[in-house]
Amino acid sequence: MTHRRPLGPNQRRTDAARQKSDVREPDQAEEALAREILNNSANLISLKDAEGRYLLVNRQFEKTLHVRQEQIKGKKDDEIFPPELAAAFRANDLQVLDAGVPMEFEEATLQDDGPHTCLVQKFPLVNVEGKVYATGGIGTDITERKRAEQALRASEEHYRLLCEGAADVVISINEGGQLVFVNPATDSARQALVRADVSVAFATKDSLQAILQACAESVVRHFETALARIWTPGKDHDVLELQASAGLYTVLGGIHSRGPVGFVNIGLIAKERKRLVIDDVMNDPRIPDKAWARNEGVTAFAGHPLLVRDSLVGVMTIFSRSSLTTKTLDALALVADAIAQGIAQKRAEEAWQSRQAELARVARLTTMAALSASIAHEVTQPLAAIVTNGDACLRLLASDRPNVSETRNAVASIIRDARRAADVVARVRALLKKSDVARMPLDLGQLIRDVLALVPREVARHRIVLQTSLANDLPPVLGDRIQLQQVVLNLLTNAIEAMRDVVDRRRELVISARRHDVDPEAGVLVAVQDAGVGFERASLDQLFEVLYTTKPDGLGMGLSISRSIILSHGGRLWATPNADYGATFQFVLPASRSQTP
Amino acid sequence: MSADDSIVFIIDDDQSMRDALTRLLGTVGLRAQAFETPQEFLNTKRPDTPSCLVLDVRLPGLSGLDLQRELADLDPPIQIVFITAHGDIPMTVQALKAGAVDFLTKPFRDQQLLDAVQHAIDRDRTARHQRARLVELRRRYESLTQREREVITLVVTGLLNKQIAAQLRTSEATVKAHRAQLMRKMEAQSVAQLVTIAERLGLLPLRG
Repeated sequence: MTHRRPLGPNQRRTDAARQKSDVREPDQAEEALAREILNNSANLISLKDAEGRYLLVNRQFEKTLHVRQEQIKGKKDDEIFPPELAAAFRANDLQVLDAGVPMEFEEATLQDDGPHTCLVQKFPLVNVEGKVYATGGIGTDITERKRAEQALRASEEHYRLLCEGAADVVISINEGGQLVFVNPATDSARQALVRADVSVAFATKDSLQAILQACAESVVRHFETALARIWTPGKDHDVLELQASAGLYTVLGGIHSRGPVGFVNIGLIAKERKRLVIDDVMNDPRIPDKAWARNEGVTAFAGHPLLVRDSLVGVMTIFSRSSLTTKTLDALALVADAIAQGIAQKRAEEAWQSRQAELARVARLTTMAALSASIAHEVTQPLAAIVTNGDACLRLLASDRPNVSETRNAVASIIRDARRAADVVARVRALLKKSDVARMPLDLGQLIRDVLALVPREVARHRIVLQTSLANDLPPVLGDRIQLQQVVLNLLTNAIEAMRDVVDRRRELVISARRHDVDPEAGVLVAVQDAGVGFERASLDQLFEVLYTTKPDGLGMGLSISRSIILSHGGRLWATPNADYGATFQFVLPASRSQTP
Repeated sequence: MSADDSIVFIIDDDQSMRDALTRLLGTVGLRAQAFETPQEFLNTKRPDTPSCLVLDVRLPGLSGLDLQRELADLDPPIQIVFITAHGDIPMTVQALKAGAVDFLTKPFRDQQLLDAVQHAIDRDRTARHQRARLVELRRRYESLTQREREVITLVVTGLLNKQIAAQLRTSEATVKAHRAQLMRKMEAQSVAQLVTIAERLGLLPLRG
């Protein structure tokens, strides 16, 4: 084994003059002294001419390699040592001869107890003409040191494997409090802890910003980063907006609160959807504020895109005071994944909620439109009679001999109709007033009777045979009165509509409310059964879809809205075709805990 | 306002409204007969006098428009004044196209209703009059002999007695006698008047 190591510059320079003085004829005393030094040195010292023939070896050389001065003199390496070793020695000599400067090599030697490693300094000897005429070599046996080094390395590797394989967390911190080592278990423990925090945060009803702040704080706490920030894309996906910042800075405003997509680090992460890691913050041009990094001791940066099925929902960035290992970065990637999933789910929930709100609003409007038509008729009827009777009164009084009894009858009728109109108004007002109060214990039986009071004309007009079966022992349910009235009204209207073209059988409509059979504690079951046109089993799934309608003039919103209202009350709404004709729509609502309706 | 034998029928499911309408019509001397449902109205034998129908569009069972369709074949057709709590334009157009006299939205002005009702009765009276006249003309025509019917058909096409005699292969004197007889039976003063009558009875050949 040969290994070349260049020497330091001061060692490199060869002083030709001094070399020259070395080759002048030494006096006896000096020579004896030099020989003493040579022979007492623990190093292996040798001198070879330019052709590689040995000129001189010291005693340690003789002893260690089992060669005698007399034997080796004038011989080349390949005449003494095994060919591969000899070739290596000669190659190193030639390098020194060629370069004309001292060099250091690791050379292998074969000794009694096996192979040894020597660190050999080789240097050229220059004659008066400035020509290299010989190479000297001073070798130090480093076999022991080498063995110790290997043992240490093996031991380190052993511990590293132990640490990395360990389920326990192993962290090493230096005197400055800086993290110098964490085992992978630490990273997996960290990401597990952060992901637990993330799922807890997303389970709350907090705003997205508050949730992300909790996530960022968890990253700072568990990964001991200097700064953790989370950004989300703006409406047009052309800028990133800072949503959370934990660690050194917790303020969201200011110049760093927005970053254009495609520019600077976060923008590039967002655009390329790839992790960006900067190991050497102090020397990387991508970190503009070096003074800040130095002051805060920040050394590494990592940015992870938050992706859900290839769509970008944000970017998470961290600044760290220690370098980031692949394991740590992988752990952070898992955290980023969890946050991305959370954001996507939160967004979907928000969209669903706004859709529900919109549906409820539309439901209110459509029901109000239907109600107002009904109310208009209910109020107009007495008003028209009042006006007509009033006109008749004036005409009666205008005659020469007024018919007093007829006039009195007209006035009595006017008063009666005025009261009738006032009753309708009071009923509507009560209805609307109750609508302000969401979620109160309700008697579904009474609620159904209230709705039925609104539809007698529709029932009569379509010659419907209406049957009611409302149990008296219904437990109260917790709900929004007007919404549930909408559902009942919608189911009744549907049933009536479904029987519009029925001529060959009785147009029977049965509405019933009773305690739920299967589980009396489950609440109240309301069923609306018609003998109408019914529906194909195949279209059962479509029934509750928005804009699905079998009615030529239907909007197709009623059933979808009704279902969403019942769902929001913790109940279920479903439809089944009847055995003979028509369909039955049913819903179950849970009983209220409070027993005070 | 005339206090003749005309009568106003009312169909409205609201008791108060029926009473108020009856009372209002009474103040102008109009007789009214009120019904709660169309069925009730259809089941009642109506007197053969000038009349009209005040009809609520929205009714239990048969709607006002349905009833209008059902009554369309009556001769003479019944004159209808619609009243409604909330009429829309298509409904109004449909009713008027089918021959309704008027379409009033509740609450209406009394004079508006009374005018509409009077107009409807007048239309009915005229229609009845024309129908009665046609019945009378038909009766007169039916009193003619076969020969007289042949003669009248030729007279109204403008032929002279001589030409008619030639066509019927008889004498001019005989034609003259038939002609005098049919003019008397048909109560026609002149040939011009006879032509008008013939036209109403559909005796004139179609003109190319």
